[in-house]
Amino acid sequence: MQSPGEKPTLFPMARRFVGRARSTDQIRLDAPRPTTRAAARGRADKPDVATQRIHLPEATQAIFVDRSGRRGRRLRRTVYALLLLVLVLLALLWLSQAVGVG
Amino acid sequence: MGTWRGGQRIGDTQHIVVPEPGRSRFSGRRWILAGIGTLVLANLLAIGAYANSRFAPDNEGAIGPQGSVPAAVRDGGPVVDTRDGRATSHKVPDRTIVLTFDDGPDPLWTPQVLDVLHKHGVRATFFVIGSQTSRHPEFVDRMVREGHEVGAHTFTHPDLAGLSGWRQRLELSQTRSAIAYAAGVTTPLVRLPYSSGVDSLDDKHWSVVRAAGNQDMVSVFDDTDSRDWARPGVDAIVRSSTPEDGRGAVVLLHDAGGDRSQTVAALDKFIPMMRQRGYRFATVEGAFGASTPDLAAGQASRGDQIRGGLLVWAVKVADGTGRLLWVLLLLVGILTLGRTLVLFGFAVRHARRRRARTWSWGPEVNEPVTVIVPAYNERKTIAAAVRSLATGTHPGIEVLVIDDESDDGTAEEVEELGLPNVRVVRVPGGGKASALNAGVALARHNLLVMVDADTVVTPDAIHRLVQPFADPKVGAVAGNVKVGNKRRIIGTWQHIEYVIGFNLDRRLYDTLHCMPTIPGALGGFRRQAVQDAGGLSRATLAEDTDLTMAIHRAGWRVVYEESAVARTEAPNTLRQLWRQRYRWSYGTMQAMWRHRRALVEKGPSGRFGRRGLPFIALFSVVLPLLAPVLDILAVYGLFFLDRVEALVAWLAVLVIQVVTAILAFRLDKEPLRPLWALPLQQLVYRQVMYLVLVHAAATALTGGLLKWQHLRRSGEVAAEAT
Repeated sequence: MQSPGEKPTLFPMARRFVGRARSTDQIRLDAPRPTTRAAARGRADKPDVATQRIHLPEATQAIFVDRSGRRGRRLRRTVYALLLLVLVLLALLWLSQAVGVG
Repeated sequence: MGTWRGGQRIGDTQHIVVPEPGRSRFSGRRWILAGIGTLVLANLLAIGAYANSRFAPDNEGAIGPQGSVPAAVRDGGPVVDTRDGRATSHKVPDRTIVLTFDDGPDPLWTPQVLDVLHKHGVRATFFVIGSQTSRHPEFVDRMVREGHEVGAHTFTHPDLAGLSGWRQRLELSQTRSAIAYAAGVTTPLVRLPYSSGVDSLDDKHWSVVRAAGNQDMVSVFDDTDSRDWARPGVDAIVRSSTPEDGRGAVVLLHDAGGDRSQTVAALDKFIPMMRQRGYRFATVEGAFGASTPDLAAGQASRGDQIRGGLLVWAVKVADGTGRLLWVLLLLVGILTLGRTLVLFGFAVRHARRRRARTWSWGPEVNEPVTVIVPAYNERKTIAAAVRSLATGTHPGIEVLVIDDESDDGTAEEVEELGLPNVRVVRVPGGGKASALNAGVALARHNLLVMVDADTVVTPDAIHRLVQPFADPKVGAVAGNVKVGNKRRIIGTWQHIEYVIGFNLDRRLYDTLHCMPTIPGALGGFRRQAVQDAGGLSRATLAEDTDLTMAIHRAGWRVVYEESAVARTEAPNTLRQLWRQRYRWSYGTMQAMWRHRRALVEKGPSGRFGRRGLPFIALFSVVLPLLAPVLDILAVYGLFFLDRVEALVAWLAVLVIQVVTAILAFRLDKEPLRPLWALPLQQLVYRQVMYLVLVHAAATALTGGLLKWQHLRRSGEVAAEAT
């Protein structure tokens, strides 16, 4: 941190050290420091993390297609439910009219 | 390369031989859903038609023989009770007026009548129609809340004497149910439509009165008829309503069925006048309750209310459906008529401009051209297509056949031709867009023409197609594609459609600078334009539409050259046609969605987006999706409306289509003979086309995966060319 009254420097990180040497090397400064904790916690990266295939956004991805099928399933279920409801109501309507006539 | 399953090669990398589509797990259900949807719609339309039965005023109808009507009834009072099997009639006590209103409730006049009654503190009896009660239950509720009496006047106001027993019972029970739902009461009172005084009761109607009695209902006639339905003037209504010599009377008035302003005014005058004469006003129950038991309204049961609720809401939904269909019909009519007029205006102007002696694209274009022909299993047609292209009159034609991993010897067929200006390139199967991209990359020239492998061009087609490139702003040119196989009626229908599409629609799009598609069958491109558009994408199934839109957005002009003619092989079965149009419709929707940002962008992209996309969406998707309304209402009209009127309306639409087709055929100098198939086209083809569009829209909504489906070639066009 910059102390009060100190002149601002062009490279604020220049005051930092790597080992014994003063360094302005951003990469070195950003490099992970050895942990001070006794025990390692968390989950380690997979060993082939550096060679994982990069998944670029597919420029020609098919439009409207939902490969998971979730959208279609939801829509179909909604339509089935609505049609069933309408059919039940229609059946009730005709039945009630038939009862009225009888 | 290929795809292997279980040790068997089932296809190449893209064109996997899948089982015949159409028998998927969902395909059967799709038709069941469509059937249920049609059934529901038919029900709603039938309910709407029933509830909207037109009826004549109550005065109509001559009196028939009266032999079976007991004299005591004929000469008796206006209330006839046959509930216990015996016929008794009751007269109104002297100096008593029973005001009765028929045919309501009406949203305009009933509240005014109720207001006048409220103002004078008078209670009356309303004989309501069931269908009207279903539409305006709130007024019936108000009647009961304000102490009036409600009776049934049937559900649709038919002459009950002309109906069978079950229909008579249905009319009365439905009306009582509607009243039960609207006001929570049951009524024992009924007034028969087209009835008046009890003295005019004839044999036919007497049987109805007796039947009503069997349903625990008491028939109410009138003593004085105000004749307000004839609108004779306020004084005349008052005069007609007034009983003679201090006698009591059931007075017949109407609170619906036309302009009732005179009734309202007459009522305001009649009540104080009669009170001055010493009369009292009462409901039917109030006047006859002492002499006739059980005339008072009862509390409706829960069952009656539920039954009435179902009926009331069915009528409401049916009315709403009917109104929606009529609004849509109006919209379709306006859009169709507007489009036809615009098409006529622009197409004729476009044709005249192109035919003018002064018309020229600029200096003649003789630059060499690479014709790219993507081919996948096109052995039957490829030779004729390539020969017609390679022997064209344009100087320096290079035909580049991109064989997309065919396994039927397509490439060998081309090689056997031994034409010097034809190259065959075999690429791993990647679909049409990939094959075309390969062609663009491998083309030797900067002017490109893309032609389908089932298409045969006229000798000068390529030369004519590239002439618009004299204008450096032109990036793509659409050719004039015709159907080559017209022997079957399905081919003739498509021929009509193509001629109209290419000679009217494309001329309009050309004039408005919003050509949506350079047809895959014959299209010219500047290589730079294709590259600016980013090449052909596999994101959509209509790669030609997608590319055309991208070229527009890149700032290039896209034009139509009607003199560059090609004949293509159209699907020759309904199933194949369905598959092709399904892909086109779905692909067009995909392309529009992909380029939707053009709506808000600046520059040429925005110009195309704001002008072209709404136009294409309106006339390529929305209007065809609404087109079924025409057929639905035509069928509805045949069953429930005036058949002649319905037929005339349908024929009017046909005439518009015939005139449009004749204009298109004339502009294209095509013989008019195939137009004999146009009326039949309206009965099958049009319906198939919008069903396909509905299917495509449903697939887009559900996110289903639609693959390229290779059409079977008959080789008819190729055979004719050779």
